[in-house]
Amino acid sequence: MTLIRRTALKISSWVTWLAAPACREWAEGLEREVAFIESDWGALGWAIGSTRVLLEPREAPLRSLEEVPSVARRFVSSVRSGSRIWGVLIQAPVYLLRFFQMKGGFQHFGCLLIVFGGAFGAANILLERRRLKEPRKDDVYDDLGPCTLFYRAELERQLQKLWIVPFGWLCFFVGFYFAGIPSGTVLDPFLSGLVVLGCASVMTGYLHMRRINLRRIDRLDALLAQKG
Amino acid sequence: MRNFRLTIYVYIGRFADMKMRRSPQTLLVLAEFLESERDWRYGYDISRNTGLKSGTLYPILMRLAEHSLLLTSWETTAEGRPPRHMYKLTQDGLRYARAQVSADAERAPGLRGLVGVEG
Repeated sequence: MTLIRRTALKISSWVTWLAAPACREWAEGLEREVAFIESDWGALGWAIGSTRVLLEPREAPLRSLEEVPSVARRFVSSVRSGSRIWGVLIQAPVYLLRFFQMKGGFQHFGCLLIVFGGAFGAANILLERRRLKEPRKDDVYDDLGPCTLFYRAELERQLQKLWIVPFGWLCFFVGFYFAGIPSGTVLDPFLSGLVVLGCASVMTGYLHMRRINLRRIDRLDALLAQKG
Repeated sequence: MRNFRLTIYVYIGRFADMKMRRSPQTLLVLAEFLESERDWRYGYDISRNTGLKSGTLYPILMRLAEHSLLLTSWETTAEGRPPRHMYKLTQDGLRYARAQVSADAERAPGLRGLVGVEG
């Protein structure tokens, strides 16, 4: 066996090992095909292409509507916790205190922006927690039909509100940038790079979450179609 | 009222396949499956026939399976050979593939022959 083919097999088995449980079957399928590719370079190209499976969403898709209540419970609990924006909330009081110590106008603006982002995120979490009280009076999880409707409606709703978390984080990064500018000095390239990187990762995260939510809705619709 | 709403969502679900992204690559894969509708196909064979790389082909296959348009199975092979993953369109998948390929046949003349659309 040539070195190239050995490398291809190594990459494929590495992909299978790293793949999310929901994608493992596919990664294994890709790995098995390597043995049937005649050309070594072809096998290597195939193996390198198989790494794309690692970018697939980590979540196992719904297999049946019976799984909806448990999935809906998890989803609602993650919405209630608002964990993805806690980082901004923690920073807000720190920058509120720093606001009074800062001297430059940019710095004040930066601090205020972070505080605004934090307050906005906190208000959103409070509203969501109030809306999704637990336990719910009419326990929606007991009945499959209403639970499915509830879950789908929540997915749609969260898709509309998905911008809130990245907005809070963008406020933080832009605020962080301005808060770091001492008055009368040139902009720090390291700080600028850090902020650009932060904003880019926020936008990537937003698009990723949007894709996952759209997939959840698609999958639910497909299961409903089967039932119909 | 709730049953009525569920019925509405069931109908929404019936058109869920319309949400599948209809990229030229997806159409190539669907057309490839239509070449031999009843046979199980291997990933590498589909890749070779369509010219798609594994990194493009498998996400499409995964998406089709996610929408219940594709069946997957492990082939039982002779001793010493690893089992291969095989794919075949479901009945819904075949209907979807025919509809998509025929809808695109006008724009992509190469696909016409597969669905019997006259040039």
